[in-house]
Amino acid sequence: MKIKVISRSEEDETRQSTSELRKLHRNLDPNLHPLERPREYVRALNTTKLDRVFAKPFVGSLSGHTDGIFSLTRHTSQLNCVASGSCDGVIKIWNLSEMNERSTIQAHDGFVRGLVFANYSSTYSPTEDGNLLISCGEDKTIKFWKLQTPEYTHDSDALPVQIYNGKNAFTSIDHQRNSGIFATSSSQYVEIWNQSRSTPLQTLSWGYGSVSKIKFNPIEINLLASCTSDRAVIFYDIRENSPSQKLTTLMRSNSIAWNPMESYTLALANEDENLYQYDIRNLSKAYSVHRDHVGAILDVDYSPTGKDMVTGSYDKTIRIFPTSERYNSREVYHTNRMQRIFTVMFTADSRFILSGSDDMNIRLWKSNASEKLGIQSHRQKEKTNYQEKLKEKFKEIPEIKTITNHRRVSKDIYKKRFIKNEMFKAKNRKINNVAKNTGKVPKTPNSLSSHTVVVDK
Amino acid sequence: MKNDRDNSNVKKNNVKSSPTIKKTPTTSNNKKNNVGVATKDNKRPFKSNNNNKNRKNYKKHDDIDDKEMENEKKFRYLNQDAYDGKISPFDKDGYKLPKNFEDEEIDEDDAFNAEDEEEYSYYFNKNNKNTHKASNQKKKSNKKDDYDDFEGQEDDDEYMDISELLDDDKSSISHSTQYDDDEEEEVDDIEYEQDDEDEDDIQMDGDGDDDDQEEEEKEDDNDIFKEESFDEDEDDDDESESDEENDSKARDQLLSIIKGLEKKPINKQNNKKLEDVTELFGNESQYNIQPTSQQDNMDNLIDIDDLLNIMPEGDGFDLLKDQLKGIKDKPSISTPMTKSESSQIQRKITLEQVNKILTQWAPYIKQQREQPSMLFENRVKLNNSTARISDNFSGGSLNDEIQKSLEDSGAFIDSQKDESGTANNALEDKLRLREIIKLRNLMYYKEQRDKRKKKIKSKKYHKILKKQKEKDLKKKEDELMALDPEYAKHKQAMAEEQRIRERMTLRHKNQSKFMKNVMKGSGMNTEQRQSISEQNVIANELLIKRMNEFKKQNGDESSSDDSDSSETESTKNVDNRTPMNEDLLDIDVNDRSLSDQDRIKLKLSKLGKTPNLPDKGINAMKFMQKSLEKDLDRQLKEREGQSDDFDQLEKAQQEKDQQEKNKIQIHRPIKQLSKNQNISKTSTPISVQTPNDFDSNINNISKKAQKKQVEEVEEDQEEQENEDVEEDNPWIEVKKNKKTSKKEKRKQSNQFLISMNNIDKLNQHQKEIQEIVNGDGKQKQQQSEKVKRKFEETTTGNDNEDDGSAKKKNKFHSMSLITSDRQKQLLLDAFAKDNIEEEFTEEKHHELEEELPEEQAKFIPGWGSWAGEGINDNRQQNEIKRLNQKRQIKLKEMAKKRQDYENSRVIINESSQKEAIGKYVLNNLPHNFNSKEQYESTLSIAHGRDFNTRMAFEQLVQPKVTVRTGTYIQPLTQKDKNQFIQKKKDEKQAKLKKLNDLKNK
Repeated sequence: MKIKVISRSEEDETRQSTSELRKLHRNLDPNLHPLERPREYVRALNTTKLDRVFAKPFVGSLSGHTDGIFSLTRHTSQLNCVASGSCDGVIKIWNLSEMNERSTIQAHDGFVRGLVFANYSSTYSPTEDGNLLISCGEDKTIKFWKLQTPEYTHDSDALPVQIYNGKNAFTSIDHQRNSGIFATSSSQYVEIWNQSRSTPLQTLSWGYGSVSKIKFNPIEINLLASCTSDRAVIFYDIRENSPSQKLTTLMRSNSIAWNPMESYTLALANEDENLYQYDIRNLSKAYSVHRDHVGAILDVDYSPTGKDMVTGSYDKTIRIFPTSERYNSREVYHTNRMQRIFTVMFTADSRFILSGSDDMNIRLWKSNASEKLGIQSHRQKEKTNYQEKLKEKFKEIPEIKTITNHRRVSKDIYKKRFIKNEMFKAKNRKINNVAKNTGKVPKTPNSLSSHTVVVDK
Repeated sequence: MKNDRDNSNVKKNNVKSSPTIKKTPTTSNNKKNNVGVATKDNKRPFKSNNNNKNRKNYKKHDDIDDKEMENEKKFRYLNQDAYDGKISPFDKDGYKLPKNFEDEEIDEDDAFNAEDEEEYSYYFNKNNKNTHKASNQKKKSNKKDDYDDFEGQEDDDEYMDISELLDDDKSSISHSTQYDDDEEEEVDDIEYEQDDEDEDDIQMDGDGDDDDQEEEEKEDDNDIFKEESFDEDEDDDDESESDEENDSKARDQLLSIIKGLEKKPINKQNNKKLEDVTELFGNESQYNIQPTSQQDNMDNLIDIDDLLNIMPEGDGFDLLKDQLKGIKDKPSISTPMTKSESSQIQRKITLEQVNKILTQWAPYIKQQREQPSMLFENRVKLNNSTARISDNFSGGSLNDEIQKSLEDSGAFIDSQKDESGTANNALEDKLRLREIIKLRNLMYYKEQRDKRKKKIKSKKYHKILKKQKEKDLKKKEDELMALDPEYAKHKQAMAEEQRIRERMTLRHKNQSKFMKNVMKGSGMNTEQRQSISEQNVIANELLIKRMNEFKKQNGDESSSDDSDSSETESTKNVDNRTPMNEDLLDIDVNDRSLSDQDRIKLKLSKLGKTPNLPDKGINAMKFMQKSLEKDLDRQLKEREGQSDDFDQLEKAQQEKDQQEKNKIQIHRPIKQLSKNQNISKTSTPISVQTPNDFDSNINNISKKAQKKQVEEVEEDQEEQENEDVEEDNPWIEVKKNKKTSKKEKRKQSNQFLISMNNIDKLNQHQKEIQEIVNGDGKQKQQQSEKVKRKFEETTTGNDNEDDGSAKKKNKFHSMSLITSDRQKQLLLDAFAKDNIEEEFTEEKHHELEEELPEEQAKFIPGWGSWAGEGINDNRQQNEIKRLNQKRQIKLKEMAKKRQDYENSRVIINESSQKEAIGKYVLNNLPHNFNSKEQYESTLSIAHGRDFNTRMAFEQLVQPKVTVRTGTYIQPLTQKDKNQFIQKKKDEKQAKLKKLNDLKNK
């Protein structure tokens, strides 16, 4: 006669230490675990609710500037090192892990318009990575600040290593990745510089709109995009020493950002309160439109993973948009005292967001509002993963959707949004009415293609 | 006259090209009127100055003869040019024929026809008539003058003139268009104008020439031609009015001209003419250098030869000439491009290159986007990691030393030595291998044999196995019954059903109440007789069956000596059947535990014989005893067979039946537990449905179920009809009494018609019957709840599963209570006066009406009509009628949309369903999904730990993006892309290789 007994070997069952978890034996017979979907739904619901409860995105603020912060940049290799430039010409280098400042430099007279970390040599060498800070300002100068490794600090009384003079006030600077070349913009010109030369290598221009922002493509490092005050976004190839194409939009773009994971995707922070993503191979229409802000968007940055975008707006809010799948913002961050946001930036690990605003503070936010900080055990991680998956799975169910999408905003923003919505509805209504009375098919403008006015080649 | 003027102008400004072209509007729209007016307007100021002159000239024009028309034709071309202000080769001709021109120009009504023809010739041959145009223009200008005087629009005109003077083509165009409207009025004023023909236009042209215009463009010329032609047309119009005869003809022509204009753009021939014009002055140049070799230089370009020719012959120049001669044959350098052009080309090239580079990324980025999960972590090489340390040690001398010492001591066995030893002896190796193979084979054979042996089992073994299994099953069932009350219920129901079945088939006995009734009744009709005979047949069958069974069981008993279970069972059976033999069977005769002798003794005693066994002799031997035992066994069996009295058995059972007879036992169909579980498992509380979908889904489900019912019902009906044709109404619809409150009614509305004949097929109907028969209110409610529950299940379950379950349910065998026609009749009689059906439909209709609120007629007497005594206004009634009709139509539509539309015997409360499920129902298909199924599939997987193995769980919950703490995420690099491309290439190559290999094979 056969007798079935539970048999467990001593070896397998014995724990090596008391802290080790006991092996869990489970029976996966589906009959023993009925109603899987309802159960998971309830779990998902609870998770979404708890997520809202524990959503505490604000980590802290870095104070010390005595004027509005106009530029922010992250270090080329150090996660916790960022530099900020304010409107009174002061540059501060911060230590994010300790939330304090490393050093302060009185760099320019007037605005610090651009800041960028680089390595101090014309040829790239990884050992020297990030020991140079280049700044440009409205005083028509580009200044090189040598930083002392390993802490990346700068003596407050030390002079810049180099000063290059430009013809006009600079509006923006960006450095090519892993090379000695950088680009600045001033009035209508984009100038390409070599670190070791005091005159620009190339001067590029197309049209007469003054260039407000330039950005090197982080992947195809020879491509450069600039946005100008005459509503244009101009693309250059610095190898060819020539612009390649120009996109003119309905309203001007305040800032641009390249997706660091997709060489041809670009985001435009537009004056018309929307964020646009373009595939530069086909500029005739936007790739996506993200509308949620109620004020002009002043700055945009891609998360290093390429999955999110963060925008800072004139409406005093920061919003996070996913790059794909949905068009609405995933998060909106705001505080009572935060003023117009001039600059926003993801940290290089994509977990945090920095925002520089008019109120002289740099604020540090979590990119995922309800994320737990600190070390998590494996089981905790697994659990959060599971919960995330459940949220993802049931995100379309009305109940969960409302909870996840609901955010409290200030009255001001709420009202503006309401009005915006009403206006939008009215416009649609009008189109429909016109169509009804003329007997034509209602033709709502395509928000993707209507933004592009013209593409010059 | 005109020509005179023209010529004089030409003389004056020999080299000057005509400015009129620029003055005249360059409208590209071919509306002759517009253009005509425009030109006229343009010229007005000049005309006004020369008004008197015009009048004088007019008389001269009157004198023209038909003959002169030919001349006119001749010079048309020339005149045109002259009119345009171009100085062209016709000048010479112009000198010759000045007078003709005057006359011709002034021709009037007589010339009209000819003119028309010419016009056409212009349009189709592209030869324009100048004179007419000029005159037309004059006319119009006069008209315009008059008009202007009338209207006081001079300011505008003057403004225009200035623009003309300034050579502003565009402005003139705009003016021309501006005056579109004015023109019509002008046409009305034609009669004034007829006297005012003169050549002032030409004069004006001349003035224009005098003005600043030095150059003209071909396009402008074209436009002029157009305009001129239009002018002519206008003129024709005017003339046609004056000349009634030609009216219709002219009009037709005009139309055809217009058509022609619309179709044909201005022809190139016009351009050619212009070329002719400029030709005369082509060879003028600053230094008076003329191209010498006319044949080579078609373009009349000055080449090196021409330049060299000028050079004086001399010492210094010879050398230069020689040098230059070398250059002569080389092609000339083209003019450099403008900056904008070159930069555009540069941009184009750049863009192409950029796009080329970027498109290389496309496959990689696509792959990255589609990746289910991404991991970012720092791949940092630490300089002082432990790996490094160990590396350092491995090459150290210490290791070598240790190894050496080990070798020396002999503790370390050199594997190489061994290998070499065996390798030397190849033969040995071979033999060993063979041996191994042999052994392996032997082992294999043995294994096979064992396997086969193991498979062979005796009958007995199998029997035991079967019994064992049955036993186990029973045991399990018992356990389950203990655990799960529902299952127990179900089992009980099954047993009950079996019993009922048994009972029902016991109709062979005439002692049943039913039969007694039948017997008592005065005579039997054919039906009843038939049913009785049927019963007899059944009874016979049953009897035979039972006999067989009995025999079998006995046989089992005798043969299954060694199987305990069968023994006990058989004894149990015996117990049941023959209680009389109980005492004898108290002791088991076949008990193995007893010794053989004892057993025989027992058996003997059972048979009533003296249990004396011989101790000695042959009879005491074992085999003899065995045979004796066998004999005894046989005898015992015989005895038992005798004692099995079927009559007795049946009597006993009938007694039992009798006891139960008064109770009406009803089989209760209860879902099987397992099925139930299935349903609950598959039932999905969350489902995507577009609003229509939602309804349709539910509709589908219910409809399917209903259809099935209906179909079955129909089938049954057919059967029934076949069976008993004489019966009029085989259907009886049963509905509950309306005593219950409204709420309850709604609940009950989920229960439906019962067709008496089909009960055994429709569970729900059975329930209904049950209710009716029992008449128990409580039970009713319970059942209605049950029905509800069932309905919910069907609605929440998926369609497919629903089908399955529905089928199963229908297969579920149940029984008809109403077996005889008499009973049917009875029921029919009982419910004859109940108009349940009507009540039900009424209720259903009421339900529907509640949903659609009644619309009030918007009618107030006296509003929009007369009211009061004596006024019969039936509008109100009409309105109400109309609304009613509308409502009826709407109600019908609504009814069609309802789920219970198909089934007249069901009311389905839709609102409650929506309320219940609405929370989980999506109104729209989510973004990024193509179909409902696709979305549902994403929900179908359970991610939890409870439902998956550990590995599966970990894989399932992997996040899309993982960033290890402290990772500095760098952007993509060229390397990533190149690696990807290389990988793809390799894969492709490998594939190709495989294909090739396959082909070769």
